[in-house]
Amino acid sequence: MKGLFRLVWPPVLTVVLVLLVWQAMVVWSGVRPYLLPSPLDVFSALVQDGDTLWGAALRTGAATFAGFGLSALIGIVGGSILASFAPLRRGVYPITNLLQMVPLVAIAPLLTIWFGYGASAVIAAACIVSVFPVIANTVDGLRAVDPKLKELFALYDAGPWVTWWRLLLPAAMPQILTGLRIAAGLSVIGAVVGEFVSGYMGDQAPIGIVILTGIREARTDVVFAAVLLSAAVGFMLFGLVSGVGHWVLRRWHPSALER
Amino acid sequence: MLRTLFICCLLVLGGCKNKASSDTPESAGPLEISLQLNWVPEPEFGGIYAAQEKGFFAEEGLSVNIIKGSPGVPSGQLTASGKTTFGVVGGDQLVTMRARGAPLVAVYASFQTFPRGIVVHDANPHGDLESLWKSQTKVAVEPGLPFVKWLNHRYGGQGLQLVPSSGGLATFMGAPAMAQAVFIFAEPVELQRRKLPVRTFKVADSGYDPYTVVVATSEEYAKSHPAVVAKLVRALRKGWSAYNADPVPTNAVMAKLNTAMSLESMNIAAALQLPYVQGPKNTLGKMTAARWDTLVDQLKTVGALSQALPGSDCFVSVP
Repeated sequence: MKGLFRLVWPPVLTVVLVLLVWQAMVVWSGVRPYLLPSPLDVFSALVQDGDTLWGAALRTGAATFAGFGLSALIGIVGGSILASFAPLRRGVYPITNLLQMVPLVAIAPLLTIWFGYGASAVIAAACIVSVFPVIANTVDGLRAVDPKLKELFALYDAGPWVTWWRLLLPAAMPQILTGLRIAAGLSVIGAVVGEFVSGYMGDQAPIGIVILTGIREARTDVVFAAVLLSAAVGFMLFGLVSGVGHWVLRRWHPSALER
Repeated sequence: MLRTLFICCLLVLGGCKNKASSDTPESAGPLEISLQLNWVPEPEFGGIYAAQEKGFFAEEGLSVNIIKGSPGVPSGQLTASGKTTFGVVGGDQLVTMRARGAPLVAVYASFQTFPRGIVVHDANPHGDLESLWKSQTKVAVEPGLPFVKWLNHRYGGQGLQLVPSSGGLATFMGAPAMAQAVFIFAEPVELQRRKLPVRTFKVADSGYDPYTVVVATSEEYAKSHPAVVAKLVRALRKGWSAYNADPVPTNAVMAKLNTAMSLESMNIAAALQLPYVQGPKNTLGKMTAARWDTLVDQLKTVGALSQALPGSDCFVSVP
């Protein structure tokens, strides 16, 4: 409990200080709320427009988790295949780099045309943006495994599946988890950008639509609240990946042991 | 001092110069002002570009930097905060922004009749806006448009599937059952030029008819620079008169700035928009408090405004 407190209080204190300074600056400068709302305005929006905002966060969260799950699956499986077959890796791996260079804003309308409006296109957007770090870290992690350990497995006639499951995957796990942590943040960005062009409006509005509507209506407080909630979705996913990572690595990896 | 520094920091972070605060003396040459559009160059801004091209701004001693818009550009916020001297906004947007504390005032209403509509494919089974709005059709609209709330209030719209539109036509063209919010003489003209038969329902027929393509400025600027406002309005009126009489030269200029709309489409659109610009009494740019009051009432009715505000405060009357 004491350890948890020591871990939590520095960021909490930082957040509290930032909010206090932000509130003081807004009040003191007299800047209008439609330009920069105070933290109290944002909190008020979270309460008054709670139904819209929390519902939107749930929808965006669901799409983000689905897009992230898909990119984790594609990234780990695809990265493992690329790491295992050198000719394939040489041919395909450089091209996967394109995934991180694609301007999502430009292709998002195409995703709407291909997948239709709603969750499918949003999940696809979240996946496209977040899959590359998982592929890259999986490939690098698998290729960095000690060759002597591979020889040992070969000596005992271990097949490719057993070698992958018992040796390669655990050894590459720290790097794969790093890729997943990066993907966690990116998938939220992908989902929100996807929603800008593919999300349903009205009662089904996700965070992306709430942001666009808020900008149009000069509801900067609602925009900030929506951004805050999308960040919260990203934090939750990041925390989940970090927690799972710690659980997976807890018995043997120095990064987990030293906590 | 520190307070000024903080506000300056906000403006610098916004990446824009505060041209509205320009105190260039009028006698020191043309007065530099900026005008932020809320969309790409199209015939709905024809009079503005005509005033530029034909030298009407220069005749009034103004050097106007017309800034092209794009989907989602916050022209109202930019104008109210003084980052641009003038900006183009919707009349309803101006009212909702005023209610949120943004000190915007209209100085010129380019469109006397609301030019928004809903376009459907010709084979769509619905014959009017009411029938369409009571159906389960997928309608692409820009998020946050107040007229959608009005149509929901007027016709129901519980079954409608509203999806975001960024102004592009590709999705609509590939979905025969879909509808899309448009400017009556912009997108439908382009669709027909591409041999896609469509029909357009006018939103104004539902009773919602605010001034549109409104040139606005901040209250502070309107009060401190009434002469500049008057000059701009005079130049805009001349620009629109010239554009209405012969839109082709100005359209040629705009077609170079917006390659997504052909010159042919712009010429057709200019002819179609004429009655919307002139209005029933050919009152170019002029506004009345009664019409602003009606708009305020409608916005309050649909919940877009929490409290009424005087329509007479929404605009500056320039003779």
